[in-house]
Amino acid sequence: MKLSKPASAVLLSGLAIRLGLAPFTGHPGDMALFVESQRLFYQSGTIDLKYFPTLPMVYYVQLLFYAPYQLLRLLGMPDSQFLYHDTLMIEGLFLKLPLILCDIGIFLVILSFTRKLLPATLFFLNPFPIYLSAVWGTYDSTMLFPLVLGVYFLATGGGRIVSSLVFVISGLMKLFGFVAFALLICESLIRRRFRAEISWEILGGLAIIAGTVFPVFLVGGFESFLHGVVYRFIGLGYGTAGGASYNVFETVFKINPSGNLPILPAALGLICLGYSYESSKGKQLRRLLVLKWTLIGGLAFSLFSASEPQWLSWLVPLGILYGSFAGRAGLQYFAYIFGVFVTFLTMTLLQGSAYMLVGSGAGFILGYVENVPGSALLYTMMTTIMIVMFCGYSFSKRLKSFRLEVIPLTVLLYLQLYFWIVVVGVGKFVGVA
Amino acid sequence: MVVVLRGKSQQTTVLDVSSLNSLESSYYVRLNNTIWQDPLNSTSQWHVSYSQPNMTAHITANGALHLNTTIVSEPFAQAVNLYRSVNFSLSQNPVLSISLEASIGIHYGIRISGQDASGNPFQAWSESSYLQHRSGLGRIENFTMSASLEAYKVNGIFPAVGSSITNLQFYIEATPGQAGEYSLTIYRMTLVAPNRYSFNSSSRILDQMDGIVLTLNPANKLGYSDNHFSQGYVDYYIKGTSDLVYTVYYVHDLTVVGQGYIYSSSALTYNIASFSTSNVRSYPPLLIGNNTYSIVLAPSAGSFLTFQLEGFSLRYLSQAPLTTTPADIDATAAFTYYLMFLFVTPVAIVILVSRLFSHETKQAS
Repeated sequence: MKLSKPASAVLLSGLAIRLGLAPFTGHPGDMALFVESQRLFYQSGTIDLKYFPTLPMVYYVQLLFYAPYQLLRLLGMPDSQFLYHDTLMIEGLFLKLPLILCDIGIFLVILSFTRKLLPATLFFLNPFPIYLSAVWGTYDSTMLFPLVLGVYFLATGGGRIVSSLVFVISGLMKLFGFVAFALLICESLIRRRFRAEISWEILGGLAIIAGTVFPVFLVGGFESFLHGVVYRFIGLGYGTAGGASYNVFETVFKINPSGNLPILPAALGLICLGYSYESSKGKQLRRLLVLKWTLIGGLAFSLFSASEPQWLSWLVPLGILYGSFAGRAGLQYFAYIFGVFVTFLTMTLLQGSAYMLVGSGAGFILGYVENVPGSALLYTMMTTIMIVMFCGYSFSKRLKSFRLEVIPLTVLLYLQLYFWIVVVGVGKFVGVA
Repeated sequence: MVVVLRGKSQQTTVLDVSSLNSLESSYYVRLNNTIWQDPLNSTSQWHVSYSQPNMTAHITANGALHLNTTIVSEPFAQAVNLYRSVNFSLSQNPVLSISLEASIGIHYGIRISGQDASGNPFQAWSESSYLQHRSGLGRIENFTMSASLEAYKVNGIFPAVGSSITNLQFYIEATPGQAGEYSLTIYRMTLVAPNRYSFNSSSRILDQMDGIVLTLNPANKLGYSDNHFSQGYVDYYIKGTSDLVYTVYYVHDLTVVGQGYIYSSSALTYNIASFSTSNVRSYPPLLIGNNTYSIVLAPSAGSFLTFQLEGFSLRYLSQAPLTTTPADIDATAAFTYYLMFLFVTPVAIVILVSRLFSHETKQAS
């Protein structure tokens, strides 16, 4: 694939932005978790799969990318701490390197897929992916890259089986990737491709999963992996009343069905049913359907789960790709605006700018917009409204094109909510902190 | 490269304490040695006072102590106090166990005070304590309070030898403009001396337990202090009473170094609890010994019935996460750089590209 000069310029500028941010920033809590595991492996030989707080594939990827850093350190390369971060500067950069490379991968996939620079730029220079990969250091892009790559293979005739296996790899980075895999299995079942495809898809998927999880089993951490990662993430965990939720139903209306129902497996079932119904009617292209229903899954997940801020990033590349295929330029632009606002909201209302920049727990630089009373409620309300707007731009016939007025409208919405929640304090009246 | 480099670097920037050899002792606590109990069948020891002279309240006792009050709306806050004199020596580190129910809509609190051997008074409560200004839930709540610990939390030192608790007070309070009939019912009030029972951590223990303590010997060769603590994990099988709610603490001496989330477990379950400095928000209700590192499983309601330890890991980093921002930091230049790279530059390039390639989206739509 040969890049045009403008595409190369966008790629280099996006990369420079990320490399300019990565050494000086980081989420102290998450980066500490990752750096502990890596240092334990390279300094004491401990394979930290029992207590690694997320899926083992993330651990393996980090091991690979941390190895060159360790080699450079053994060869005498100096490294130092920036302000109060718990990782050293170059060390932090190496931990974020797979995330940044996956961002580049997504950029190239969107560029190849759409053959247009603007949609790829709207993703690659979107502040939200930059914030998550280069500033925070969270690994959502490692799930998104194989996910969009699988869709690309599916659409360009790269093979269903290859696509399904790439979706499995995506799911092993973050379980949401399994949504697209489940849709492909549904498709194979509907088309009755029992011998030709479904057996290979399932067997291949199981083999990759087994290969990934087997080392966990070997180090005696299988039970902790099941309870600490799998059951917790699919909503079958029990016994924990910790962790924040930014779901409007739970925060405002105190409705938490996941306390009684395995809501995420049920939601996946509904998405599969919807996909199967639409697929059996055969009115739309299959590649568009997988993309569409994966996007619906992302929207539903963002609305009805604990709505962690980083999960909102899934909507950006999926929305841009879907917008390209469905002729929805408005969705592509809105995905960008969505990313800008969500970055601002996450940075100011949830994390605090000093947290990521200085590396300390409770610092705020922008006094009037950070650490304000009702900040979690303000974040919840704003993101919910923006997700609903995202739904509108994705599926409403009236919102196919983009109007610049949406930007001041969103700012006005924020100011209105800021007034009612922060200044007036309506949260207290309705029993929300 | 990954395999070749494993364990080759000098161990200087991370410390992991996870070997079961680091476990010095394990014991559980039972609050089964009752020293004193108020049978709550007489009101003679109890007194009522009001913040406003025109307030009315009456108390009755029939195995439970009932305080009923009628509050007339006033433009200021009002309170009714219910108190009695006691005389408990703190020599046995006694724990006060109380069950009560406050009606919905009212706020209430519990206050303890005492005096040392010379008769100097001391408080064992503070305004910021979880025992103050609580919202009435309209259902029974159970409290376990170490009087020595409550005094330590307020005064920064433990009560001197010979100190005793001399006064117990309950109150209900109404906000300005609040009116109505409210009640506070005390169902049980006992003073117990906690008993410790050692157990073998590798085998499953079956008993009623009001706290579980794993005492550790971290063997810290790298000289890391509590400030370097980053994250800890403990995994175990556990079962408790149906109302069990508990959390996990990592305590060094009298400092809570790490705290976990809130858990419940009425059926036998496997659990991994993580705890970190950034989660520290309270103190274990039971007093843990000095000069020890301990992982403490402490219920805020209910009791444990079954426990079996599977493993633990305490991680220290050379630069652990800070929970407060140092006051001397001026991040203005760094913040400007941050905003330039995160917002200004990407948005400017996108505007430029969208102007140059706007025909692409026109084609698309």
